[in-house]
Amino acid sequence: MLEISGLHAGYGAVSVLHGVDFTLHQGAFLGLLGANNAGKSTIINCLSGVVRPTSGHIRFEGRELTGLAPHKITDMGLIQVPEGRLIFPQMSVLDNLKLGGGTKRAIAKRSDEMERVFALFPRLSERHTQMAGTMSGGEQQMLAIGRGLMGQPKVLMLDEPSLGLSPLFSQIIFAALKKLHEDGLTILCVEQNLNLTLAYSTSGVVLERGVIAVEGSGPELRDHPITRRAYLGL
Amino acid sequence: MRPEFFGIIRSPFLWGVIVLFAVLGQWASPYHLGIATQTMLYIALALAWAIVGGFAGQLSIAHNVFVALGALLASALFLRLGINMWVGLVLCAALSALIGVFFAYLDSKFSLGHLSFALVTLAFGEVGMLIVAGWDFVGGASGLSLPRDQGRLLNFEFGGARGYFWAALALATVYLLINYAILHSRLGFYLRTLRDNEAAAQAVGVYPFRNKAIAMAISAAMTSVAGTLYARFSNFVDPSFLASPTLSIEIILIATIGGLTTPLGPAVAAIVLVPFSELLRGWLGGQLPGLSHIIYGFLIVAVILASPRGLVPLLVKIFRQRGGKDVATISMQKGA
Repeated sequence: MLEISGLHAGYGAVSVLHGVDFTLHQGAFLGLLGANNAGKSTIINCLSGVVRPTSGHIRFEGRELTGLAPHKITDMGLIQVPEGRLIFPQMSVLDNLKLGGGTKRAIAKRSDEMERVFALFPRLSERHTQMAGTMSGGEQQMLAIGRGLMGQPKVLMLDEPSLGLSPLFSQIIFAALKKLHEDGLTILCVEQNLNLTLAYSTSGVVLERGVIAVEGSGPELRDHPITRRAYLGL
Repeated sequence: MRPEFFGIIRSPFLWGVIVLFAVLGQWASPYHLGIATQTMLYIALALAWAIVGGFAGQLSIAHNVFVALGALLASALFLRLGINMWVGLVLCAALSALIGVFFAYLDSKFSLGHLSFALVTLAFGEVGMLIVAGWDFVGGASGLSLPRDQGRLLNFEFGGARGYFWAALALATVYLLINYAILHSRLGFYLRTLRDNEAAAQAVGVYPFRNKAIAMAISAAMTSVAGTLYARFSNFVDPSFLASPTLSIEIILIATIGGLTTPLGPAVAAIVLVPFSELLRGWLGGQLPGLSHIIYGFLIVAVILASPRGLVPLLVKIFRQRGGKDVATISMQKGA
């Protein structure tokens, strides 16, 4: 569904990715893992069009994505839940969700989707009139995911959804992602938290200094020596 | 359009105030009418600016260029080429909108931050002033004088102080409604997401350039129209006032002091500040020239310190503590 090949990218003179290749299959829940500075967020930002790759290809359902503007990519159904949540704090929960469903392909089914989001996160339904900025971090992460779902994604890309959350909330978030995956959503999740991600995802890719070090299923990766090296620098 | 918008335009409070102003105009002296007209024009200018400065959070210091276009170019087209000022008004508004889109293009092309955008537009504001001063067609540094008003509406003449006051009041009212309409439309929401966080806005599929360009075009065209009316109202079109970046700063000051989160902000601030500054100058100008500016400056500092978010949010807070609910409260809840 989503093919990445020979992806190089960087910021100014600093190059971060040195030829990344992997494929995200329809219906997969892939964890994109790695330590700080490995280039995980850069990959996801290339996919969403915020960062322009210096070379390489990204193909989504056969269409080339490199060079497309972020809103076009969102319109195609490749939707990012950004790192640090980035909800609109001065707007109500409801308005945040509505904004997520404002794209051409999503707007017709906006109210159906809203009900599904409220079923997934009942907390959002309870707080729908509240200013988004006054909610807890975990609730804001729920909102960010809900906002992404409102755009009716074909692929949902999450950047560090457990960032700054308590272990309990991280579990709740990942359980919700697992449920979405079981309902047929394709998910790409960038995470530092190895054990948490591998417990819920179907497969993983470990990134080390801008290249793929190892890929495989959860249990394979957890005990793989390269994974340990990528994380612990051993 | 959201239901809140219709709540606001049906508010008897809002229309009551507007009708009161219109009726008061019937008895006011030409001197006071002049101040009132100026106030209404400042309301219009501040509201036009607030669409980019407030909703989109882009600090444009180039709005004097649009005022100058509307005032000077429309007057010059009329005086030199005999083009009717109504036509000139439309032409200049369209040209301003194009220049506005160009600013939005620069912003998007070079991904300017808020500060760089302000500096770039300041430069354009200065350049605009220099072009006007060196261009004889629009009167150069000495300005243009329009012929005496004979009250022919088809020639963009509104016949005397009372006519201009009503024209300016109508313009300010229309602009207030436009601002509320934008605030509660999809465009308004998108602009606020871009202001709050451009990355997050893109993540939900908002195209920054298109939305900013539309906002800039609307704002620039509205500013230009207000400029044309200002020119016809004041007869003598003075470039050192209408083309100067100082005017941009004045507009920004009024809009900001009133509060940018609600369209009532710029309106209330202009109603307080413009007459205050005029009357102060009238009382003190004879004995101590300059003192009025000092007092005006201190007042502005005091307001900013007392309520950094603006005058109207402060008034709403006081009003709420006394248990009231009015159009301002309703608009604040949604506009924040």
